[in-house]
Amino acid sequence: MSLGDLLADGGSDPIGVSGRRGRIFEQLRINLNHHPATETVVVRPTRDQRDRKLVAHFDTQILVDGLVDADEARLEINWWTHPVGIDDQFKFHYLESSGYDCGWHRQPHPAESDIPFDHFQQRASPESDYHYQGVDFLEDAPVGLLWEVTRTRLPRIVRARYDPNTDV
Amino acid sequence: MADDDSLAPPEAIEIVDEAERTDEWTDEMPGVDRVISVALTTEQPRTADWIAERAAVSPTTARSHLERLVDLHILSAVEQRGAKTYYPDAAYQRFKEVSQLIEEHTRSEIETMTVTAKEDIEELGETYGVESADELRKLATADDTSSREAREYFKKASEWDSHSHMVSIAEEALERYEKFSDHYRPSVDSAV
Repeated sequence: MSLGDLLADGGSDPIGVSGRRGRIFEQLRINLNHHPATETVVVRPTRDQRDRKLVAHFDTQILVDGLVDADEARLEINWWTHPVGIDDQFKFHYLESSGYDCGWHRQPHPAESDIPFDHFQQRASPESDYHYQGVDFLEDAPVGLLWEVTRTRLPRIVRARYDPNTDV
Repeated sequence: MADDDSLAPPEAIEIVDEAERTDEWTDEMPGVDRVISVALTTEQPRTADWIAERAAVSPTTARSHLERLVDLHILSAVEQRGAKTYYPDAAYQRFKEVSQLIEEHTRSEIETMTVTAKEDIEELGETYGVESADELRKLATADDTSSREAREYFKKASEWDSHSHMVSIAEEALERYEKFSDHYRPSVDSAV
């Protein structure tokens, strides 16, 4: 077994690194199930039906001290593995039944070239336009990023939107 | 309420002080599970120190968990430039995935999954005019490819890998079904 094989990203390579995307999905699912506000985690097809994503439904009474003023809240996650040396792409996208949605993404915007690959986007309702802002992620491992988003970044957003006394 | 009023302000989005990062996942996940989560998702073999930092455990704790995981064949270890590195054990991962597929799905569901994955691969091939995920990744690194296009190709190559992986796992699962049914089905002779 050569090291070249070990470092391969895709295909049916002999040591099975090709299953990395599946392992990331599995570990994200396991970690999401440990989040105190998680009710269910399911795998769903993406909009084009050609891929899949993880969807975690949260109990809004528990999520960020019950501050969310919406009946339903969910987090949708996708992750695309890339060859060694090139950052993976991912999306952590939060949606509320209030109509608000926001996401922490590492991927290019399909049309706007001045939006950084690592960005946050939010909109008040599906009818509104997205507002974008670049972000610097603190973690690099998939599960580290999951906890960064769910325990550090999302609570800051929720507090800023729902708790007028918050100090961010 | 105006639309913009319900948006989070920029200062809630940017984390300027790294001290604001919370290590709260240490409350929710035991250390050994954090080590497993990090070790099973690395893109290449990693040292105990590298894994320890990301799993929020001490290097000594990481090393002890990692060695136990090697004993259990969940991980493999290899020496790289004088340092011991860890990565997911291929045989174990494959066995687990095939077993899971058989446990969670009927034979005809697995057959359908195989067909769907093959169709998805065909469609990707036609869309991008390539015959493999690696060829698509080569397109991504071609001179005349923009960084935006490159990202799109890498993303689709990753989806392609998932489909190929599914085909290979599903085919092994179907073979195993075959073996089990041969094993349990009484032969015509013995029934006489």
